Amino acid sequence: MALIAAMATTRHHYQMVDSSLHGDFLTWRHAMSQEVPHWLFWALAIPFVYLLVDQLARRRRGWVPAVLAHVAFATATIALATAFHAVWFSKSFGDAVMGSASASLFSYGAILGAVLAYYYAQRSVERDVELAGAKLRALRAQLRPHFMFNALNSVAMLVRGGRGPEAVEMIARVSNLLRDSLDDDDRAEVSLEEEVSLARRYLAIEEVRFADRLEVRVELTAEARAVRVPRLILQPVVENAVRHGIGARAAAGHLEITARTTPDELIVVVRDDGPGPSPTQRPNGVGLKNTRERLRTAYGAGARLTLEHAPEGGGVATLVLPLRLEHRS
Amino acid sequence: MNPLRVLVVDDEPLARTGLRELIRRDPELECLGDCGGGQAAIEAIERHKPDLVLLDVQMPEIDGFGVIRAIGPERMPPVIFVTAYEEFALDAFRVHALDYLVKPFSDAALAAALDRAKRFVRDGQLQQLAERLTGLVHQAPNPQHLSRITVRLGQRQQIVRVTDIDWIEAADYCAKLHVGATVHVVRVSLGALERLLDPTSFVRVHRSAIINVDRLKEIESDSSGDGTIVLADGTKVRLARSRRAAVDRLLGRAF
Repeated sequence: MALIAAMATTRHHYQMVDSSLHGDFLTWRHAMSQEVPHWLFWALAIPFVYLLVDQLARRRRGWVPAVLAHVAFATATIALATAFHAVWFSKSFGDAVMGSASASLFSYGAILGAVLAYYYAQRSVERDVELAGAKLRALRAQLRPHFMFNALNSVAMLVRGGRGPEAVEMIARVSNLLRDSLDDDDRAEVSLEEEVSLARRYLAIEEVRFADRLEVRVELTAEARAVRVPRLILQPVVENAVRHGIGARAAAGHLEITARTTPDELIVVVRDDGPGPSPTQRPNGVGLKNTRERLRTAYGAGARLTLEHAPEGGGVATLVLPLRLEHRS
Repeated sequence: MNPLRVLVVDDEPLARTGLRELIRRDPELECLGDCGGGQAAIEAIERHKPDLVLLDVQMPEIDGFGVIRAIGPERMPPVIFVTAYEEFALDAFRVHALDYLVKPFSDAALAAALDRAKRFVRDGQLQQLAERLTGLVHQAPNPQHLSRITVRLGQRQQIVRVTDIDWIEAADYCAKLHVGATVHVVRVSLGALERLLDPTSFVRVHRSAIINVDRLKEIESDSSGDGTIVLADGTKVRLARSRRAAVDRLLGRAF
């Protein structure tokens, strides 16, 4: 970059030097002694131009202040360059303005152009890296490594216990769930009936892991069954009920999924008979935070997810989705 | 040589039975029993003092770190952590040179960990272990305070929320939870409960009593420096001179 600026300056300057020497024999050495100080000055200016560009980009005040800042900075730098030129070549300031101002302006422009190009190219790479990181984190959360390794551990334990057919069944269930996760598309919608069957695939694994501690009951009205919902919106809610509800008690647990519609809402209730949401439970965990974000994206403020203690004990998660026009009766 | 007495702690029945079966195959080991949660593990460790604990890290309410905190690193028997996927935990185990198994583990990995543990116990390197566990407990990110305690009512289990507890009284190796007019006995020591409860809500007022600060109504001092705490329901609990400063500190912050 410095090279581009310097070469451009040299070309321009060369002619001026040439004409001002009045026929003196021009050697490369002579030209270098005339030009190198000029290049050095502008090379030193590059980091400052970079800092200015960086500061302006961070403050995000729009392009008017940015242009003004560059004009001010360029004026100051060019004045300094001209003064430097005058001192170095022992000329009067007026001669120096004549001799170098246009070259300085050109140099500043070249440096600014190169710095801007470099700066924004770098920023765009950084953004790509950030985005890729976020995608990776989302993917990792989706694969639920903790759950997967525990499920694989169950398979290992079944094999050790000589329970081959159950182990094979477990492998098939884990594979199905993994396939569901990989198919996940945030924009996809499925009927509530399909969504519940996705949640059941997950529950099928938990039934093995928690042996006879889990009993599941599902009750959907005919209207509710057909409502289109974002894919895998329910499963994290069910997972939460199992982890903090059924998983938190030693005795057998019951899980109930019910759904009904009102004239303009779909109401899905997931009820467990565990100890209820713990006051120390982190603000609803990462899984439910993602679910809430997805709801906001899909429905705005019209959808909500609440967790509370049931009066008769246990936890109740209620998912309320606004019905889209095609579902309204 | 007596076989080492091993306790298995995991919240998944399948994982527990599997581990018990693997331990049964080793003539140098004897399985003391298994626990499905942190509270049961604390009870079993305090009561039976096993030689070795296979401890699942992630469990509801009281996790593996909570168990160590409750027992106290210096009283904790040698432990092999068993974990599925806790990046934090794995880093911590490596840093403090503690033994761990990742699920699912091979028979060989389990055997190797058990062999190391056997050598460790036979050589009596327990002091060293206490130091490592202390390091681990200190590093654990803001521990979750106990919010619920499981109590037995005949064959049934019941959950007591700690905010409902008025005060706790020591009784041998057990603790009596006073909840209104009801008293529940849990087989966990008062010391273990003290280490698990939120120290800004519960304070030890003497060797055998912890009170819920929210229930405190007044403090009567006597000439010896000891005192009496009167709770909202009129219950009087003795306040030891040595605990006075801790109570005052807490009240200074609470009011």
